[in-house]
Amino acid sequence: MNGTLLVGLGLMFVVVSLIVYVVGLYNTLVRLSNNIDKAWSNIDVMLKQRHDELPKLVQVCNSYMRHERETMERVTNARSAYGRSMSIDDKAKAENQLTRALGRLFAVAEQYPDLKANREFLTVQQRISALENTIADRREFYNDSVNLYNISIEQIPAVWVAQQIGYPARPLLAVTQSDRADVELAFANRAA
Amino acid sequence: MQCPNCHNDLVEIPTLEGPQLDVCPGQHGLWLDRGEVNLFVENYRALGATSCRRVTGTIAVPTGTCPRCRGDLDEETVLATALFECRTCQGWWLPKGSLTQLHATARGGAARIPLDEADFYRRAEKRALHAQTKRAGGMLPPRQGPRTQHVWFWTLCLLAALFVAGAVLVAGIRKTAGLGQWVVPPDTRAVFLALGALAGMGLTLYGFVINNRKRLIESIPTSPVRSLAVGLAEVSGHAQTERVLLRAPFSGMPCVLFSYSVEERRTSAKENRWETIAKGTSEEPFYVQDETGKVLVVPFDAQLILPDKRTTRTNWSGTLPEATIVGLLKLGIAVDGWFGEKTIRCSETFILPGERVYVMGTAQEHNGAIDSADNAARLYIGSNRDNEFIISDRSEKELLSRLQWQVWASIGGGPVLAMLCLLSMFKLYGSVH
Repeated sequence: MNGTLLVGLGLMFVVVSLIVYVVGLYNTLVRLSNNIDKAWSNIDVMLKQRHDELPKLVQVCNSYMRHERETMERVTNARSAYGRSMSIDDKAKAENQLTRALGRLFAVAEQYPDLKANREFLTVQQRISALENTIADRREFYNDSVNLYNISIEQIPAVWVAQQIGYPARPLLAVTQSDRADVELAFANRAA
Repeated sequence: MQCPNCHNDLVEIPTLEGPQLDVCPGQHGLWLDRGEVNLFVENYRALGATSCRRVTGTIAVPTGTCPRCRGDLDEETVLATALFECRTCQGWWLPKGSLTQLHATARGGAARIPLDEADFYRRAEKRALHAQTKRAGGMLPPRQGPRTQHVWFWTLCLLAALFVAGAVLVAGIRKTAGLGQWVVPPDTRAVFLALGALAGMGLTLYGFVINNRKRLIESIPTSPVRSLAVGLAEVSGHAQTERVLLRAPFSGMPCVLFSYSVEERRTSAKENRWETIAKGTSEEPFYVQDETGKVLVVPFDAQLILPDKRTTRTNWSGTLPEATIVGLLKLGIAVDGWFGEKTIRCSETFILPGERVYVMGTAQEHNGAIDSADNAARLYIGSNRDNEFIISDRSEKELLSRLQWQVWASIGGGPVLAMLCLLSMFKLYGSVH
């Protein structure tokens, strides 16, 4: 048996298998990374829809909740903060702030029966609630995508090549301590 | 749109009041389309009292045309505030400070409107700077992509290794062809061994294909139906019929999806073999429902992974069950041949209503349902030529486990088969040195 031929066959098999495996691994990392970007964009789409609902909500609430100025200003300031933010981290913080402000607003609105009976308010409130459920689902989906990516780049053998070719770990969307705190309610004196 | 003073691009700034403001990052002014100013002043009705008195003062008079339609801009005075109105589209160009002055003058409407004009200019400047450095490539990208020089380095290394392995192989082949003499001339057995070696290589390649599919399924998280997004998606839930239940063709079981194949035993002088004479899959859509909602699945062109196959065949007396005969006749398949009843084997698989189902496919929008917010009405999951489309009655974990075994069998067994065949061929037919 020709030893050179055997060595050549073995070498060829190992190299071709290595190439196929590395190409597959690289393509998987590309797909996982792009999945994360897509997941964030899908959150952004929902956030934009929520933002578009806010002017209507503020307009309706302003008519009834004239004395809850601080509550209304929290919502407007949070919305402005999102408009100013650039990075994903800043946007996530601004959105958490807006979610808390909306939660406070809806809780305060419970004290205004006329507002609660207003059809436009109910429609907008339901729409925003449905959007927030979807946003929460998509945040989980984003974290799942990041988790899968981080696991892939930390497993052997990807851990040896991922950093080399520019695929570092990505952070999860985290909830801060202040966001976990319960909403504090303080009602304005409604005597006109 | 361009600033009529400095001709820089105007920057869009979102506002709480609703419309996007077009602001000059150089702080020369901002643009409002016709009617938009009503959203920024409390007593917008007072804006109707305009005056055509020419204003002289310290405001910057624009030299350019309307940012929106390139029409001419006329100076106007509204509530003692200087601004410029387009003759064509009636939009307003407000020099810096004019919006604040209008807002302060026209107070007292139904609702209080807070306004911070300086904040608009700050945000416009920041966004313009961000866009400029991004275009110039000087800013950090949103995420760090692959380092191109490292990718090229490793590509060249692998190509070099491939070249070396190829050179050694060619040298070995030349040496064998030059020195070797066939111990035994190649015959049919050699052909089978060569085919076996090729089959082994093919099996290895198949293993890599299955591995890619497995990686694809692993890399996509399962999405709740309520928040399904357009594109490749994965859902898991219980199958529900869309309109009426289907009936499996041979057993008559009520189901939402079925697949069948019919094989006939063909006997010839040399061999007996089973030949597929008909196969098909139902195409009626069905729903997948999870805890958050339901979404329509259109199974056309889907790859079905339904391992539990129910098979009926001609029994020892040469007859088929009555239900199977009825099913075959409905499908237009004759059960009688020239010499009596054919020997037939019928297989079917199906998904029962309420059964757990896993679907990976492309979520797409229905035509004409774009405005609906509810995913059940807006989206369906179907096939797409660029993406995989899989329907299975196994959970994702079971599916991955199955695929893993197939990968190991193919990638492990394929090279072993190829090497065994090659070694046998050279041992039997080649010379030994």
